[in-house]
Amino acid sequence: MSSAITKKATGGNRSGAAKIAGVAVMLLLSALAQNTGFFPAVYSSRPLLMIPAVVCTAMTFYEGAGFAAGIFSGLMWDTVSPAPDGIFTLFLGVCGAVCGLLSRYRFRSTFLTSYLFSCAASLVGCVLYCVFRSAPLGSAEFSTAFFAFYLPSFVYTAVVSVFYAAFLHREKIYLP
Amino acid sequence: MKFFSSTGFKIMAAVLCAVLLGMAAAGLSGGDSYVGGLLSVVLSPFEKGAAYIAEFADDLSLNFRSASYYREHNEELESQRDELLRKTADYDDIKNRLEAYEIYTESGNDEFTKVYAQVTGRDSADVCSSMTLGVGTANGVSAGDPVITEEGVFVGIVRRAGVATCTVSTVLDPSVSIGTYDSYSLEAGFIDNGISQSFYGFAVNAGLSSDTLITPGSLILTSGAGGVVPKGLIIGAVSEVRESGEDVSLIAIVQPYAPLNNMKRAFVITDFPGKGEK
Repeated sequence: MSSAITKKATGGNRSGAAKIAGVAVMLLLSALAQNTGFFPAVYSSRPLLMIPAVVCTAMTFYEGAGFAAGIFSGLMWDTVSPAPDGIFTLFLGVCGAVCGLLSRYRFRSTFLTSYLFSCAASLVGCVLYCVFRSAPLGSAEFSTAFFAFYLPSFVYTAVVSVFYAAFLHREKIYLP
Repeated sequence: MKFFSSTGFKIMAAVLCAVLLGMAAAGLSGGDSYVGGLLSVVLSPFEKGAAYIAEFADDLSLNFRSASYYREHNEELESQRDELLRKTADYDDIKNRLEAYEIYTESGNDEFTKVYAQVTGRDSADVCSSMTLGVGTANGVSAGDPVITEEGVFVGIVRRAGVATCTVSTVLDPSVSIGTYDSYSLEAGFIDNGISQSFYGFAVNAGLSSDTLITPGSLILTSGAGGVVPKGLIIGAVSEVRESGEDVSLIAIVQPYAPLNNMKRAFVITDFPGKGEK
């Protein structure tokens, strides 16, 4: 049963390699776009592309692939971040594994669940970064940073997450 | 749950332990983790390539502006022109300040040992405009080195140096605290930022006396105190002076001259006269 599910999810061996390559390219492009500020800023905020990329990968290909994608994306993020070394590797790795496990055992992997989980993970990521950045400076600075910068960033990410969920579930959306 | 006794779970747990150990080792040594260092070497060419593409896309977008954009831009320029005309009334005062500034900036940029660097990355989630440069310990860069623009304007300080890349905390970052002085009155102060100002692109020059001579338009330079940053690097111009809210001292809101969100290139100062002197 399990292998049948895996086979269905990966589309069989023939197209499996192509899907893995596609996801790898998506992760790499997401990381480069986020780290170079390729997306235009809206109210000074930019989308955190790596979070929906990892979550949607985990929801589609389960915990192993999600964990690997999370570790890879987190390392990419940590190379440019002033946050403590490894914090995003840890965060995205756990995110990928947890979302993959939930997808396998508790929730069906659909466009909607992938999107909602991406939004939830993005919110957690924004709060985590806001805590690191502004919590030591006091509650007033924390609320300013959150409402002025990280909340718009979360909303921007939530909008962009639609495309990630649609890309990884395109067959289920467009085909009956 | 079967998953917790599976090989997959053990592999995940092992990798997470390795990440935690790497974080602890990097935290204790104050440097980059080995994995991060290795990754920065491998990914450096990709990041440089992506930075070139982003720069190209930036230039390309300039060619596709609408007429309304040019009209708004024109109106903005006209308003700036009017403001500049009003400011000519203060010409003598500004001239004096510029002369003072020239004296201090001629004091020795040539004495610095500098490393040229391209801006290869930015953290989209950072409110303080931190950036990554394509130079690292292999180029002689180390944590704590000051970073300047091609024109010699202060940008920030290297927070973490990997083998081929380094992360820079800008002058807007609350973790950057350096000594400053006003080019005209020579009054000393220090940079003490908060997120509220950083978000709008301003730095805070704190520690000013209640009878300060610093006024909007004053030039703020680095004082070189502590031997962290060379003396005489331009930080920016004061846009507003107000009460600190904590005691009787005043603070100056400083508009940095360095284009922190659009920088493409920079210099890392690896050595300068007075480095490390308390």
